[in-house]
Amino acid sequence: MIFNTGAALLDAIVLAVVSRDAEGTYGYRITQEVRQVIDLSESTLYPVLRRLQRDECLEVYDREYGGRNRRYYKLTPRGDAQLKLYRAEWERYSGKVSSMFEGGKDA
Amino acid sequence: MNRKDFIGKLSMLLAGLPEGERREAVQYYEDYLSDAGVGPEEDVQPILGTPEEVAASIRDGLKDEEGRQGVFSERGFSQADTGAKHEMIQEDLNRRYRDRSGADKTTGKKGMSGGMIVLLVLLGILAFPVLIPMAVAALVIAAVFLAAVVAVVVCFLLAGVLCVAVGVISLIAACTKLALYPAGALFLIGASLLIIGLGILLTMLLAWVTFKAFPAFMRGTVNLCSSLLRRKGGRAS
Repeated sequence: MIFNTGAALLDAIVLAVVSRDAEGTYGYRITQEVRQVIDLSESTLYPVLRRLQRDECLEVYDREYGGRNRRYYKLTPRGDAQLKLYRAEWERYSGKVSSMFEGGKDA
Repeated sequence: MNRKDFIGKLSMLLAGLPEGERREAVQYYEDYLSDAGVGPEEDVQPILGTPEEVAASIRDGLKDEEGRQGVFSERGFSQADTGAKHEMIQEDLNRRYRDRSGADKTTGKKGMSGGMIVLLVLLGILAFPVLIPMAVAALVIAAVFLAAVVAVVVCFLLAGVLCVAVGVISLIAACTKLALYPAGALFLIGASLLIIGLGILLTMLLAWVTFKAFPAFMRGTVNLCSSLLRRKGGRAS
């Protein structure tokens, strides 16, 4: 991809992906869904998830699946607030960039 | 490299991390490979890369805390293979989260302060017989220094006043002799004015030293002492 994905945007995408399931979702699925939008290696996400967890934006719990425990990630209220902030910021930013591409009519 | 070896190697490479961190990471990748449908004998390298890369990314993510605790060496393995984009992301993350984890660390360190304070108090008691003579010596040195400063100031003041006085007297003398020896008297008048000027300059210099430079110097000394004390206090708590 031509455009770099900064840390904040990656955080925002991860939070958005996790927030889509009220019950939470697991590492493999998060990775696959994030990989649909941005190009990253399959091992990039663990440190990000771990950090979001440490920052209390995500919480984890284990759930039985196919005879083993699978770790699920879920948004905390703090993570939810953070996601809202990211979303508002992204709308502002992407709107500005888009209007610039459209000839600066609104800018 | 098959899955079993990969997990074993990864676990080994993460040795030295806090046990919880290591278990967490290993479990994540076990989960991940199970969910990706990778059997124990299957090659995982095409999916995850080498265990070294994965371990480096995990350690990178924890680097902030490690650096502050100073327990683990960061360069126990090669990080060169990690992708540039990934590094950029990690660096941004580190920068962004530094503040918060910094706050966590300071609260964490407070646990040690009790023992440190006891030790410092003990040190203070034991050092008492040495401290008193040292304090006396410091006081004497300070008194001598002050006396020297006062002497220098008084000297300058006297010199300035005397210069002005001598200048004025010789000016008057020269004026009375102006009719008798015009050339000599004019020369003397010039010299007198020069001396008066010098005296005024000296007095002004002295005023500047006493009212500007000296207070500034004292303030500097006080600041230096208090900053030293503060640093000592910071180390204690």
